[in-house]
Amino acid sequence: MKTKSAIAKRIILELKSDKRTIALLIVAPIFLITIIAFLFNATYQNFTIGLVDQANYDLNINNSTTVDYDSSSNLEDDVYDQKVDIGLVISQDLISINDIIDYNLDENQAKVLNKYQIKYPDLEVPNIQILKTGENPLYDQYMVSEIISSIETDTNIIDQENIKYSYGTIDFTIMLVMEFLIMFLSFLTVGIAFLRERENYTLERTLSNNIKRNDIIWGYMLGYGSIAIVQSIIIEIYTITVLQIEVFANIPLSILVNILFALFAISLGMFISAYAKSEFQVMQFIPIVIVSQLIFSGVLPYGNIYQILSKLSPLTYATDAQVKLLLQDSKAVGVDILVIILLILLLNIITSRRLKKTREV
Amino acid sequence: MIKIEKLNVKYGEKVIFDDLNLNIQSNKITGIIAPSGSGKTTLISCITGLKKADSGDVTIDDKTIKSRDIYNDVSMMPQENGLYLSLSAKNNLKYFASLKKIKLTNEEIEKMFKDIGLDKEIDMLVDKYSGGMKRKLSLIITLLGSQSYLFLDEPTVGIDPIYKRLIWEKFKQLRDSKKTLIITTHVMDEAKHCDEIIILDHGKILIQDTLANILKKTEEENLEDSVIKLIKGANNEN
Repeated sequence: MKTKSAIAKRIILELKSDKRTIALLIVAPIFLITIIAFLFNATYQNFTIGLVDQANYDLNINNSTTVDYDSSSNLEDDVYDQKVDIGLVISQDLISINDIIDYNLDENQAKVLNKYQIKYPDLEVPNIQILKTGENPLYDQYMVSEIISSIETDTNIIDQENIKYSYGTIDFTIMLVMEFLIMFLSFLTVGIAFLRERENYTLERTLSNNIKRNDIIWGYMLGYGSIAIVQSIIIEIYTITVLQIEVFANIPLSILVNILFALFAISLGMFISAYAKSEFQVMQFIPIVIVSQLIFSGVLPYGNIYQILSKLSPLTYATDAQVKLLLQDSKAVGVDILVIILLILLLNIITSRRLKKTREV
Repeated sequence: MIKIEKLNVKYGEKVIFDDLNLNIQSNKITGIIAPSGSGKTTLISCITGLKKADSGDVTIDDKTIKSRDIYNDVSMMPQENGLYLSLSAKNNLKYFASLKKIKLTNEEIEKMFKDIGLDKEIDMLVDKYSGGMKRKLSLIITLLGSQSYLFLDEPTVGIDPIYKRLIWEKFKQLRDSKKTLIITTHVMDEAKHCDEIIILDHGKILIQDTLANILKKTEEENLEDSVIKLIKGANNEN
């Protein structure tokens, strides 16, 4: 442990004299999350709902303007012609919550509904049909979640405690961007730092001592991991207080997921730099190991093959864990956390073997 | 004693050592003189465990080099300094000392820097150090600890003549305190301080003897001419 903490201490001392890197690791994610939050708020505010309200619920849906229609066929035509952003038909009759089959829900919203179904099996809810243009799946998803949460609040069908954990597209995107940035920046910083150890022969010099190859790897995890802890806490506090994303169901667990994912990025950085010949090559690996993860992490809603590919992207597990935490589903994140830990161990074992190239005994 | 028997090393198709045999005596200063690319860094890497030979045996005091325990007996000063540029000189020293499990007091650190003439630059970032200053720092890091075999690859490059002399005096003191020093050098003038000289070319030992005997055998007046004569002779044979 003494060797690992000596290496970690050295890394922190090096970073202390490199204020720009520290700023990059902490300020850059905050800056980009803020931009994206503003971008989403600007784009996704004030959509137009075409409404056929036979039940006279007199709904008040967040961020929207309502245009009333007499019949659902007229509304269908206007949705088709994109005269309104989304259509909403509320029938006179109530239906049992168990009969809701076509609620236009994504996987996570279905889970919320499922919880209600278990808790209130006899509940009757308004019979609602949502008509989507299909023009922009992300936008549709956002509007649907706004409508659902407004209906839930307005009709008072479920106690308020449960409702606030419905989540929207913005929250999902911010989670994704947050995890992606934590990974990208840690990967880049560690990847280049570890490569420089080889280029400057400090790795060789460190290994010319009676220390285990593994000590270097876990010393790096400890050093950069300490920075990841600070980074995660600051970003989390910022997201909750400044961006007012009040969806963190379990803050310590959410911070833990961030830290674990940063550790994964540190392992990935060491792994790639152990195989790269230059800093330039570390950069060349970015499209393969980083950008591909973003593409497969759930940001693009494509078919089944995409679903399978997304399971191969570590970013999926981190984002999935955060989204589950938004839904207050703390127990379900166990698998995601386990996958991330296993990936860290696997990468570290391979990197440690690769270090044999520097010291063979 | 360091004993090398039938050492074979290849990099791809290129043969570096083909059945190399060599003994290096303990408690002496042995100088290795070799043209660039003749295998001297590979030889040191094989003896210090950084590289495993394709075949052959390397033993230090009859112990085979098969684990990192070797670094309890061996300390190395690489040709490239291997220093952390964004750390101060003092923090570099403290870091490498902690890897050797040595705890240094501030007074000890200050004395080490003073002995080598870096006492005013102790807290300076190594990035701001000149080549010679980095070499001095690299040397004091190598001399940390109680290892009895010291491998020094071009230890005095870029160091001013006054400190060069001091450093060689230090090397002799270390030898007298039962340490073994293996030093590679291009500076013929420095080779005169060595108890034994090995001249290596294309992975072969051309001669291993004292300076006086080498001059005698090659019938030359200085080492430089002896080296040129031996290398030319070896090339003509090939």
